[in-house]
Amino acid sequence: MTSAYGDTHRLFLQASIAERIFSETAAEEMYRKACEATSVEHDTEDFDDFMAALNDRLHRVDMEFRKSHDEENGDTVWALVNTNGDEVAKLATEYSPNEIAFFKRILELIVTADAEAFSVSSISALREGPLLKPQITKTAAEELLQKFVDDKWLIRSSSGRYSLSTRAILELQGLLKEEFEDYILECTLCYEIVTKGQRCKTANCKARFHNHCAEVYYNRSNNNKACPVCSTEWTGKHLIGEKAK
Amino acid sequence: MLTEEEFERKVKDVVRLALCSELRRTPMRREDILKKVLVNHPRAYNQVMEAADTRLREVFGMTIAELPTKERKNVIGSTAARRAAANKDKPTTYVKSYMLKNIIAQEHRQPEMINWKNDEPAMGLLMVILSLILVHGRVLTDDQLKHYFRRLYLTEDHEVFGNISEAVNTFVKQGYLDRVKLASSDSSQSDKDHYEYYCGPRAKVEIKESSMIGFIQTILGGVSLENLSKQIERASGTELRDE
Repeated sequence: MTSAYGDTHRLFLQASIAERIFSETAAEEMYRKACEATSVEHDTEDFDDFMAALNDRLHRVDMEFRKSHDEENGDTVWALVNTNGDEVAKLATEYSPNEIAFFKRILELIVTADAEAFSVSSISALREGPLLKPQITKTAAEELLQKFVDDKWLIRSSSGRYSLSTRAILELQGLLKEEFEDYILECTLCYEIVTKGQRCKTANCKARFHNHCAEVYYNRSNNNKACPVCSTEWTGKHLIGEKAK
Repeated sequence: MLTEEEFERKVKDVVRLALCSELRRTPMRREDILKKVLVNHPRAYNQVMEAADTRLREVFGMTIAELPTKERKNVIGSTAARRAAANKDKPTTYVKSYMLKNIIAQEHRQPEMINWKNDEPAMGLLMVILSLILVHGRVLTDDQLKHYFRRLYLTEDHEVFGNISEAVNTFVKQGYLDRVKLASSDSSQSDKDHYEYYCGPRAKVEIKESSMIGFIQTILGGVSLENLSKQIERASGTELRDE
């Protein structure tokens, strides 16, 4: 039993800080290793209790582990996130005010992209740098974007478009819902924010699914391929995200 | 005076700042804490730091360690030493800075749990440089360092370590190495600056000299640790630090 908070938890945390976000498989493996290192009896069954104990302590420093799903492949992931209400202030310790201004512009471009594309081309992203005061040169903007990718705030696709990472969605959900209320979409199945997935072909129908949620939903025995909201045929070909048209 | 709520906020901010700085391996400077976190409440500094440290210890198994001062102050001929000598009467204003130190018992640590990403080769290179500095009486000139790099076939664009000069610059920036510019003795050569390398403050906190000896022993093989330590002490003319 991992009842008391101790070195097992601390080891797990120390390993998590650098990673920030990892798959549940990786988390369970880390848990096993942390138990082994501290000679604590390991039981997969205790994993949830273990994470709960961690969160209990982490709340004292306004952090927590949140569980979610990777929008791209549906994998269960755990992320170590900051939870304090002042969403922007928390970035202030990691980036300079000007860098944050740049990030917020990119965020806005991504969220407000036409046709629910939830992504921005690197050309448009780089154009933002010189518009800021003080300016961020294109070269600096390029480096900064790479830093956002390295820090797991943004994802850069093979075609060079930037979109929100699972970490960004998890950590900035408060800010996203508040500042971009009219743009943020929720998945009809899991109610989490969706920026990559499928939409109903009816123009003003609100139904949206993550790809993995659509799979779950339409694989359920008697759900024929109809939109859960307006009942038109669900094509699975009307997309949200980079491939949106 | 800070309200209880404000105090709590500041403590959490210091914790966050400490974790962020650590992740980037940059020191957390007193100035940053004052400017970014405390803002109008510099007097709360000690109390906030203490509370943040308690929380870091309890939750993360890490403590806020003050970075040791640089050795360069005592170096004769270095620009820093000259400046210090010139300002003899004035107290030296040196910036306090901190890093996080792991306090989980050594036998409980599990290094393979931590994803080092691309850091592992760099840490190997660093250990080599630090060991060379140590056996040289804790100081190495850039010419000596370059000479060793050549002998070790560490060319500028190494396939594992990448650009060596850049790697060294990064170590300096991260506080693993301390680089001091030497005052040029010969004015005709003033176009080329000379430097000396020392074990940096972060390295002093993170890496014990005894583990450097252990590292050297692993490479040499077949030498007893005690003999090696003695030999190094004799060769370098310094006594090994034992914390």
